[in-house]
Amino acid sequence: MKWTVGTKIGGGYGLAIIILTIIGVATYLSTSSYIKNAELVVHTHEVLATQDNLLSTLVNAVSSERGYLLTGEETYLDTHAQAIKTIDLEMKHLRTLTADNKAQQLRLDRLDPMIAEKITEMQETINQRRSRGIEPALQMLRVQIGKKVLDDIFKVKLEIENTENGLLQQRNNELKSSTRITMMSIILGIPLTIILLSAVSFLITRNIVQPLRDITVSAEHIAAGELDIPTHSCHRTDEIGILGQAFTRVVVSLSTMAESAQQIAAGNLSAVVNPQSERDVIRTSLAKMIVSLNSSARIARQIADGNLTVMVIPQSEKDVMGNALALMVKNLRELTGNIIEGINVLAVSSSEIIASTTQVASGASQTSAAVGETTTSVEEVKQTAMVANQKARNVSESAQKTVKIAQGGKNAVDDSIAGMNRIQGQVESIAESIERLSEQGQAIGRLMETVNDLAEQSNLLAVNAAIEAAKAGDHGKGFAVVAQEVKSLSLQSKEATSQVRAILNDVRKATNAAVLATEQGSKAVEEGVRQSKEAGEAIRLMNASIDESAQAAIQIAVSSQQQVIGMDQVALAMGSIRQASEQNVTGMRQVEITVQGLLGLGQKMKDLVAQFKV
Amino acid sequence: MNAITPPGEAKRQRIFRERAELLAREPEQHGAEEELLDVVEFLLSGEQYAIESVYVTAVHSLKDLTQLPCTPPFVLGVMNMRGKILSVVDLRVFFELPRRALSDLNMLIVLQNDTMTFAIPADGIVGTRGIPRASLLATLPTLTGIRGEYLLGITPQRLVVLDGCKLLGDSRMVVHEEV
Repeated sequence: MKWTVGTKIGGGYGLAIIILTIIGVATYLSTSSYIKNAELVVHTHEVLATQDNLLSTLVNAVSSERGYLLTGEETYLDTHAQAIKTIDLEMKHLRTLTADNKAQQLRLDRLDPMIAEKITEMQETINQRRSRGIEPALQMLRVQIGKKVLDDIFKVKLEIENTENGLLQQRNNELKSSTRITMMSIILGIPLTIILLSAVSFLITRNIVQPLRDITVSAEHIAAGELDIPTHSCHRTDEIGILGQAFTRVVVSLSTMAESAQQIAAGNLSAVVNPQSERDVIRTSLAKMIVSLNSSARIARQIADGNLTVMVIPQSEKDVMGNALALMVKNLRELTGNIIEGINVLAVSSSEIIASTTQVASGASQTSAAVGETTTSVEEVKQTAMVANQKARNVSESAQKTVKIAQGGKNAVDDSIAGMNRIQGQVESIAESIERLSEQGQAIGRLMETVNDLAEQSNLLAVNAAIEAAKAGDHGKGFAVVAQEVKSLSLQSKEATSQVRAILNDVRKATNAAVLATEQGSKAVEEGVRQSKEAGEAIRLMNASIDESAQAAIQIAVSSQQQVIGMDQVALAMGSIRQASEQNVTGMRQVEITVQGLLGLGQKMKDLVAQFKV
Repeated sequence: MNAITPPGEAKRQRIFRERAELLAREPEQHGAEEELLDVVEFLLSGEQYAIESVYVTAVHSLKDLTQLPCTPPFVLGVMNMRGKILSVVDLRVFFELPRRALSDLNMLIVLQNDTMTFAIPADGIVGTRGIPRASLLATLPTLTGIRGEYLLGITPQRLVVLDGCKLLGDSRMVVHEEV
């Protein structure tokens, strides 16, 4: 691959042009030979037509001569003369047409004297006819000189025709072959060309485009700041190889610059950066950066040495470092001033704290004494709480007893309600019995009706018997007595019936009174039940409130117990407070000592701050 | 309540004594020569009547009366007594007695003679008794008309005795009506 990219592209285009030229020339050559052959075919056809005309004209002349011989009309001679003239002209035309063919010229040379002889023979015959009449002319025809000449002429004419036909055949073949060559060159040449050119263009594209794509990917990596990319295309000498080498150099240059920047970032300001030319912007900037950082570092060192008088001048408003240094120096100056002031305040405060601490110590002693008194009081309160607790417990026990008594009352009321209910049931059963009694009384009443009826009928029977007895006269006297007795019996039974009815009435009244009494009894029982229920309810409510009282008493007992415990805890706490206040006193003494230390510290800080030059 | 208890010993003794006295009483002496008229005594419209026992065949309770159309007002109807059909004649109408609003009319007295049989209703049957024929008073002059015709007489006890023979023989009782 020592060709440049230009050479490769030019070579491809050149190959295409060469192939196109070859196809074009081949096509032109075959087409022009085809045209020539076509012209020759036309020429041959013209020769054939001309010699045919010649012979037909000759035949015309012979037939017009015969016409004159047979008829003796002069008009045939005119036609004959015209034909003779035309023969001459045709002959000349044929000679010019076949001028390139020697064999045909020789045949024409042979034909010329034959035609002249025939013409002469025909002229003699005509002359014989004109001068001596038809018979001698016919005699001449019978000799057959003229016919022989004509046959010869036909023979020669046939030869010429055959030669020309052979030529025509040959030229037609040539025409066909040249057409086939043209077709072949077009049909085979064009697909071949397409395949060849496609292969060439594919090779060229692959050879150029792939390396360019690789380089583009590398350029994108560099644009993203990645420098660890593989170098490539170094083995190629063409334009792409050169582009790859330039790319490698760019990567190397950027890597060295990145290394310098990294050293600067690590604080190494002794790194040397040499600009390669005046237009090397990046390296010049790096060098200027190192100088600027060095000056900043110097200022910082002076500040570290305590020299706060140093002046920092920022290069511009955007000089962040310079501005920050200037601000730092200003702030440090203010800070140092403030510290000095603070130290002074500290000294004063320490003295005041010592005074206060002494006061607090005496206060703590007083507190300790007061706490001792409080402890004694707490002990007394605790005794009182224990007595209260004992009382509360007693109250709780008596409340429990009351609860039990109330429960007994409630049970008694429940029993009485149950008894009342039983009484009610019995009263109801009494009422039912009385009702039955009343119904049975009514039944007795109905029975008495029947008895009364029977008495009536007995009476009637007695009357009838008496009537019968009367009819019997003296014989019936005894019977009349019996009838009388029967009648009196019936009357008695009637009387008894009315007595029973009266008694039944009394019974009914008594029954009604009993029913009324039963109803009243039932109402009284109901009232009793209601009152028992009310009493039960009252006892239940009383029970509930006694329960509540008992609960309250228990709670009082419990809370007084808790009170006793709480008083114990208070006593303990008071002891702790007394201990703490004693510790306070000792602590205050320690604080006094510490504040003395603080005073010393203030003095030391004063000395330290004096080192800063403001 | 003591009504339903058996009668005491004293009461029983009293009843027995009363009965003994009743049995020991002398029967009424009507005189053997006196002719006694046997009558059946009955109640009608609050008055006491009597009729001779000879004409009475039976007394009966008035039941299942069937009213007959196209009969005179005194014919109450017909009734079936032991298989015999009896016509029932209301004497109140017949005698033109005032109709009392409340009247039992629950008894029947069957009258019969040789030719005629019918029944008259009554409020109640008192019983049979004998009446001395001589004691009968003539009819009162105040009783005129139809009532006067059928009376046999009046006893001193104001018992009106009817003439059964005339009643049974009265041609007006024979009803023959065509509609």
